[in-house]
Amino acid sequence: ALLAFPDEILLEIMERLSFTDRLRMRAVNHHLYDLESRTAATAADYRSAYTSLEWKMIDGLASFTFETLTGTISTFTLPLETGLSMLKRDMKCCTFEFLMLYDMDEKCLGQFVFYLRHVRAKKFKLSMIQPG
Amino acid sequence: RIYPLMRVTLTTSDGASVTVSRQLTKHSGFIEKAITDMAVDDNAVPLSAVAVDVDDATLKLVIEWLTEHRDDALPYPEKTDEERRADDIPAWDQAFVQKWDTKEDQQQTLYAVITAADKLDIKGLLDMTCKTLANKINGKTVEEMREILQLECDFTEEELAEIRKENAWCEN
Repeated sequence: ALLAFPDEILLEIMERLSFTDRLRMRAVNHHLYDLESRTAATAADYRSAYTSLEWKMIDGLASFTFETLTGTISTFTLPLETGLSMLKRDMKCCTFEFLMLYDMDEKCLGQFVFYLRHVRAKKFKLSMIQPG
Repeated sequence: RIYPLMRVTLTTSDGASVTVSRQLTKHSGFIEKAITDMAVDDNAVPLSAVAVDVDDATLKLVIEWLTEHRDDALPYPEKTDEERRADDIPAWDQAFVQKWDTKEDQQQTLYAVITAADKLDIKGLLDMTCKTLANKINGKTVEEMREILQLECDFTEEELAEIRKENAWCEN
C-alpha cells in the first residue's frame, strides 16, 4: 500500500520521523532502505564535512564543532570507545582519518553518522580546526 | 485574481461531478493551473470544468477539508527542516481524520487522501496527512512498521542480520 506512493511523498513522511524511527523505517524493506540511503548524505558530502569539521579532545571526549551558513556554532560531543566498522561501511569510499586515530563504539558512530546527515539536511556548512 | 463567487465543476475518476467555490479550489495548485491553462476569463466565464484523477468518495473528503480551511493563508508556508514536526496537527484536522481512519479501513482512506492531496497539489492537506501517517510510525518497531504500512519484508536473512547490526545502536 505505502509503496504506491511516489518517493516524494515517502520522503515527506520520513522527514517527519525521528532519526531512530527513520533508521528503523529503512529496515522495513529494500525500497525504503534504498530511498533512505539515496537521500542521506553521500560519501562526497562526508568527505566535504571532514575537511571542514572542527574537532578537539576534551577529557576523553571528542568535541565536534560545526559552523552554520549563518555563522551559528553547533557542537556535538562523543565519548571515544571501540569499533569503526559501521562508520567505514556507511561512508563507503570516504576516509575519516581523524576518526580512525581513535576508537569509538558502534552506537557512538551511528549517532555521529546520523548527526552528519541531520547537519547536511539543514544545509550547515562545516569547518575544521585541528585537535587542541 | 480570485473571485469568491466563481464556481468550478470537478469531474472525478469514477464519473461523478461536483461544483465547488473557487474559494476552495484556490488551495489546489493542480486545479488552479488547469483553469489557467484553459485561459478562462474569470469575469466572463463563471463556471469551469476540471477533470481530477480522484474518486468521488475521496474528493468529498478533500472538499470537506478545503471547506474548513478555505480561509487559510496562501501560499502555504514552506517548512524548514527544523519545523518538520508531526505533533502540531490542529484539533479539527485530528477529528476529521479520526472519523474515517479506522482499524477496519486499514488506512486505505488515509492513503487515498494523501494521494489525492499530492495529485491536486494541496500542500496543507498533504502536510497534515503525512504528519498523521508519520505519527502512526513514530516509536514503533520495524515489525510494527511493516504491519502499519502493510509492507512485506523482502530482505534475505543475511541482509536482515546486517541491518540489525547497523541499527543496534538505536535499539537500546
